[in-house]
Amino acid sequence: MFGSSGLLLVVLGLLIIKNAISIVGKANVVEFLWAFYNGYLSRDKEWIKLKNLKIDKIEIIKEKNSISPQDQYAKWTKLNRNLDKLSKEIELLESNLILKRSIFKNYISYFITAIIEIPLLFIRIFKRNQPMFYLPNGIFPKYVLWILKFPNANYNSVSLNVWIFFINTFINNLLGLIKYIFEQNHTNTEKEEQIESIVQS
Amino acid sequence: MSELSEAEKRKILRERRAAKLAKGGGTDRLNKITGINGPAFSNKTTSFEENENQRVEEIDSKDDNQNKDKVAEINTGSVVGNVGKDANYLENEDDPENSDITELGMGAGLHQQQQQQQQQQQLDIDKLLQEMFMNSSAANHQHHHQDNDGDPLLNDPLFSKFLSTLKGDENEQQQQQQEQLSAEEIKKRQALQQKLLLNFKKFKYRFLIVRFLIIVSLLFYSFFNENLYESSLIFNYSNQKSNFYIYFLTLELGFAIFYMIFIDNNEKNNIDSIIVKTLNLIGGFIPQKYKKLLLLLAKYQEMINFFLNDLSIVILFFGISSVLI
Repeated sequence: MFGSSGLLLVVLGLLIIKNAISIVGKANVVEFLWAFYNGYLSRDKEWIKLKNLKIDKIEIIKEKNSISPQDQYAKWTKLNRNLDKLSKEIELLESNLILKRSIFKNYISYFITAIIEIPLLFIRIFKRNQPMFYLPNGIFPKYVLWILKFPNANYNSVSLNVWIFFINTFINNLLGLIKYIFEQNHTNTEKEEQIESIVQS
Repeated sequence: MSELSEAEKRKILRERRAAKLAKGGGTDRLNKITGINGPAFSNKTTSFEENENQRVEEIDSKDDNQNKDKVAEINTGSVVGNVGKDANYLENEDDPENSDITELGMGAGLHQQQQQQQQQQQLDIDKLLQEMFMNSSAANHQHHHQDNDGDPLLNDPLFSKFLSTLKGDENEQQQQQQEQLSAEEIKKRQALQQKLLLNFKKFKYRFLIVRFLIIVSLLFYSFFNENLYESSLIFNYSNQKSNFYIYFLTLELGFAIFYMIFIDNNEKNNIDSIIVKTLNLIGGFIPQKYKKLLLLLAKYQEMINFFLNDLSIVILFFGISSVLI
């Protein structure tokens, strides 16, 4: 099905996606997809109604905060009553949508497993003896070549398992570095200042 | 004989009871235990007294109102008569000469001997404790100079620890005081630990970037200058040799030495390793000897990680180049 080059790139791509999801968090990915689906793809009436109700609720809250309850008591109570009514409707709609949301989340997690884990499993089982690529001659000594072809690949080649191992190692390091740089820029500076002040006190 | 009033009857009974207790209703028992019938104690128990004792016990166990008839019987009975006969029975019985019962069963000489022995033992114990404390303080002072000429018992760590707990060793007291840290000091320590961890992370990732750049430079150098054949999807039958691996290993050795120097200079650095984390969790169950070994393994684990990380860059480079080139 796959030539060596295709297999190599497919495995590389799958592992990049898998590691990215693990760094970001599967729950966050599912939440994002749920919001995307509801925002742009969904034509569910209940969802549209819920969105409109929430917009109305925000407007009512703004209007209610802008008037004084002592001066315009009647209007304020009317707005309050509408707000309570809207809140109840929103609550009801949300409870109806919870079931749909959990079903959607289950489908998404199955989808992620199907596109990443299952292909990797198949590849590991059915292509375990296929070499990924051959190294230039004389670059590594024999004992290193033996490890690189582990368990059953050809001499002077890199086996699938070794290739997967090294890709995972590299991607973990790279993502860890990116995460550290991101944290350093946004949050760690304040934390470091706090720690420094405590230590020097 | 005129009848006595109830109050008088009770008074008489009370007096008899008190006399009996003072004399010791257990004189016979005591004599049996000690086996000596001294002159201070009387073995005489008249039948009158025995009857008396029985009746007193009966009266004591019941209410006064209920026992009025019995009292009346007693009064009309032999008690009244016998009271008249033995009116001075209380005066006839003298108090024992010596009320100290510890001398019972012993002669005076024996008792004195025992007292002397006890005093001697106490003196010996005091002397022994003094010697021990003196020696323990001396042992503590000599501890830093590793003077092992003292008592082998004192050099035993368990025994010295026992002594120090008995004495309330000053060093241990100081340690206890130090251990009673305030909340601020604990916070400071935690902040210091976090700082060390952050510093270590910073060093780790900067080191990673430096290594990455050096290895990629080496790869490009070998690729272009040494006529290194590219990796391919088919087996290479050429016999060319390359010094790439020698350069690679040399660089790895340099990185390892640099890392070890850094770690040794900053001993308080918390190495972010699974082994160290495990040690922190179950450190109490592992003996000190193995802890050091495990910490050494943690250091070497980091170096092995560096080697694998760098090798992964090389393998990835060759893998992608086999497809693209």
